[in-house]
Amino acid sequence: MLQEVQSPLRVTVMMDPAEARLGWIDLSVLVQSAEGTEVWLDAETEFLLHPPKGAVLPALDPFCGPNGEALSQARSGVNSPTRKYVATRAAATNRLLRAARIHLPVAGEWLLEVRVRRADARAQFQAPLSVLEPPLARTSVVGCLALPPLAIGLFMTHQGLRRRLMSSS
Amino acid sequence: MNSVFEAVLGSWNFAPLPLLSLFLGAAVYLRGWSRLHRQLPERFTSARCVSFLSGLTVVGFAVVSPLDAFANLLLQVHMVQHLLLTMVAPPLLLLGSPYLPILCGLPRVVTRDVLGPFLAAPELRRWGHRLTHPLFTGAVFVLSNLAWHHPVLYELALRSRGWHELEHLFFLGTALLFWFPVIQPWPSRPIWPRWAMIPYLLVADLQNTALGGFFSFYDHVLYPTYAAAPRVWSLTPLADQQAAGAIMWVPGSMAFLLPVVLIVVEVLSGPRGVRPSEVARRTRPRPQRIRALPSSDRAEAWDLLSVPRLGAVLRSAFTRRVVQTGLLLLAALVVWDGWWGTPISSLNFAGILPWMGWRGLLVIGLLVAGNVFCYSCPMMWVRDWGRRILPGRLTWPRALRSKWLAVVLLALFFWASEAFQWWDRPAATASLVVAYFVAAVLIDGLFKGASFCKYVCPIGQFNFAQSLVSPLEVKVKDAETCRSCTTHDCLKGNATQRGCELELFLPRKAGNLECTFCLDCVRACPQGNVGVLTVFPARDATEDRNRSSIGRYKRRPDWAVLVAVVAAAAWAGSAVMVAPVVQWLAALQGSWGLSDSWLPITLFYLVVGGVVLGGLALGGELSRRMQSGQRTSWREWTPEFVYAIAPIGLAVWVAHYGFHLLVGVPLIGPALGRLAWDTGVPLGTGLITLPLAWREGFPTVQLLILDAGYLLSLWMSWRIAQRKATERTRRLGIWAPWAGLWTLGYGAAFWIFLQPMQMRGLPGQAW
Repeated sequence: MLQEVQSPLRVTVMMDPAEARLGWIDLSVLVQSAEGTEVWLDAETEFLLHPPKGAVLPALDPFCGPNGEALSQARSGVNSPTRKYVATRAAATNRLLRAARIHLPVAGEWLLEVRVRRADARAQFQAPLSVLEPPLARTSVVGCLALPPLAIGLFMTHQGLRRRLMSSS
Repeated sequence: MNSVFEAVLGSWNFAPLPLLSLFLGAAVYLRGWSRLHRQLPERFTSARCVSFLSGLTVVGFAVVSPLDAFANLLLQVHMVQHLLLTMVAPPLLLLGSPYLPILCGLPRVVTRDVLGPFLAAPELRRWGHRLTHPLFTGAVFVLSNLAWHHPVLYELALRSRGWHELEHLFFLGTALLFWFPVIQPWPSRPIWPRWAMIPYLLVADLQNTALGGFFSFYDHVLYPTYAAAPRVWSLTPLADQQAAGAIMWVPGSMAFLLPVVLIVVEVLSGPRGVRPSEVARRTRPRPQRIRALPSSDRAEAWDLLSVPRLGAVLRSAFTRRVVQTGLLLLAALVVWDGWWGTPISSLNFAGILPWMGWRGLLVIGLLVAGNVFCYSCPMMWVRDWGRRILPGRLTWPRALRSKWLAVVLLALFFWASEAFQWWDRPAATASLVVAYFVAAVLIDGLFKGASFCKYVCPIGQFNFAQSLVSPLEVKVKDAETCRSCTTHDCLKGNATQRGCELELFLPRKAGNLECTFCLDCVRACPQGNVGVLTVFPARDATEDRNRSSIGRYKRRPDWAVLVAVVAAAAWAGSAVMVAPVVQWLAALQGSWGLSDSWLPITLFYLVVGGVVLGGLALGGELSRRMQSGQRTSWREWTPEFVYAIAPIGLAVWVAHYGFHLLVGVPLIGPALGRLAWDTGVPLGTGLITLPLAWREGFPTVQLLILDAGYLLSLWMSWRIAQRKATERTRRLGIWAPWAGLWTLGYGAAFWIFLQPMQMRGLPGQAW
């Protein structure tokens, strides 16, 4: 969680999961008055993600792409390593916040830049964002691998019980 | 209304998985309850149904309402959410006496064949008895409550979605156990006398009061997340914690004390000294009444055509023509764009529609329904029209009346589409589509029946082979009705409707092989005795019987090789699109000094095909050696088992082509934009983007599909092995080589789908 007060704005940035790893993260932002007494829903927020120095970003998304962003860049001829995301209320579950789903394609020290604008008020700040390598065994992969042995075990128990039931009857 | 308040009320999270689970639970309960309500109205009252559904609603409210969205900001909101999951939902669910309604609500085959042996096992009953013993349920509830409120575990749940969901599951599960002896849902038997529930509840309340008091009076913020959370309302973290403690203490205690009062009244007003055994005798279920369900409830297969309106629409020949026309227009678009559009595959409809969209929809159709593509095949529309000029009088040559020609064509198609990168050559794709139409018209224009579909069409053969795993089948509804039939309209047709062009005689048809789902037989049968019925996927291929037009599977090596080729291509096709294989092939191409990639790809296809076919041949031999007595010939033994590769093969296809579909859909927008640019029509050039959650979760879906295919393949070969040997060890010996092969295939596919995908031919991506 990151909080910054740049009068008259108080900006709180939250991340899910709390520890950024290679792949997708949710960034949410809550914009309040500097005293924290009022929530401002109409503040526009952008996240700019600057990749680690020297990192080579894949042109495509992890699904092989090209994602909308890659295509837009190809069409406009712009090819900046910085990735820009606009936070929206629609993307946030908690509608007091604005959120964006962000893809982090390489591990390392990223720089997160937050830009908030509400009428004439502006807030802009940066914070380092450490992106770790994914865990060796992801829960979903382990779960998928564990499913067949579990099912086979259940099936064998089932067959044994069935055989016993049939022989007893 | 205040906009902030409006935002709070609008913070619902309609996550599909919990909602789907709740709806499914409600549907199963309602189905079972309505049956039982008719038989035992005094036991399964409307109040029970309302109670159960209210319980599900409370669970749903706790996990999708703004309570969940604000749980990470305010501890008191989180506390309310937990109270709903532990104090409100479980008693309501148990008051619905859910055990029998859920059992009766599940499909009969699941209750009888899958759950039956477990439910009848005395060990599991004993375990059930132990799990619902008040000593255990009380202890586990209290321990779980204390453990999850410890800052270490609570913080873990606040920081990770997975742990949070696990915490909720624990709360709900242990609370269901805790409330079980208190509610004692019928037909369970009480273990302790009724009065013992009073100290049981009071002890639990003591723990709740102590914990609530601790939250209320502790002078530090317990959980760092709440200490750091932004203050949405003017409430300090400590005040928030005190409010949470008060919620736990007061309403929480009421949830324990109210049942205590009711039980006191019950005990005082009821007959004294009622022993548990007496209570059990009085409330014992009468199973013979429950088993006596009306005969209509025993129906195992469901007919898709029996659905009002939908059935009539599907049965109509006009519907088929409309669908075929739609596909014909798309085929025309593919040809036009392929020949005259900008030749960039990912921006050309000849690249997107057939190679990304259609293939994905085709395999998903096979998985969830049946051979839906052959039903909507536009080539048959053109062929029927062409028969006005070429009426098709010749008989298909006897030497070619097998699947061998189709095997060769299919293998060539799989190889050539990769080796020559047809998917990246819109003009070649367009020419292929035209050639396909011309071949269909010519062959069926010269030969009788649907010779093209039956003996030539590679797409059709692919569909036939994979529809072994489909859950729907065109078959007769009542075999007795067919016995008295003398006209055989389903095969021969009549004055108004042609019969089966693929020579399938419905009373002897079994399985989906060679069935195009054209529904001609449905329309031809004067008794209306043919339907599209649900079947257990792949079960038919485990049975040895004589099938119309096909004969016995074990005597059809051509069919077995066809199924094996389709499966081998599944692995080869998905492997050539993952980064390590792509890099390896590129290195091979570089080291050989080749300017084109067709030779390394050819080699790769030959290796994969050889490994799969060789592995199946070897598996057949090893398995055959395990027979007792006189051994069946390898030629007759192996094909039967080879069909069991179909489920895992289809799983690999669905995981692979489903990925293409997911990637292809967002390309429709840019392709339309490109078409607009080419033609000068202002269509707009917007991008279509899929919800990211869909794409993000797809790798897990791929692996789950793979799991299902692997398990189904194991099960199929087990069923065939069961038929081959009565002795258990021998049966295991027969099955083991096949299980080993499916496991190797599963491992290879699992590795493939964990790799980053490289789809060549897309903008910005070099081969």
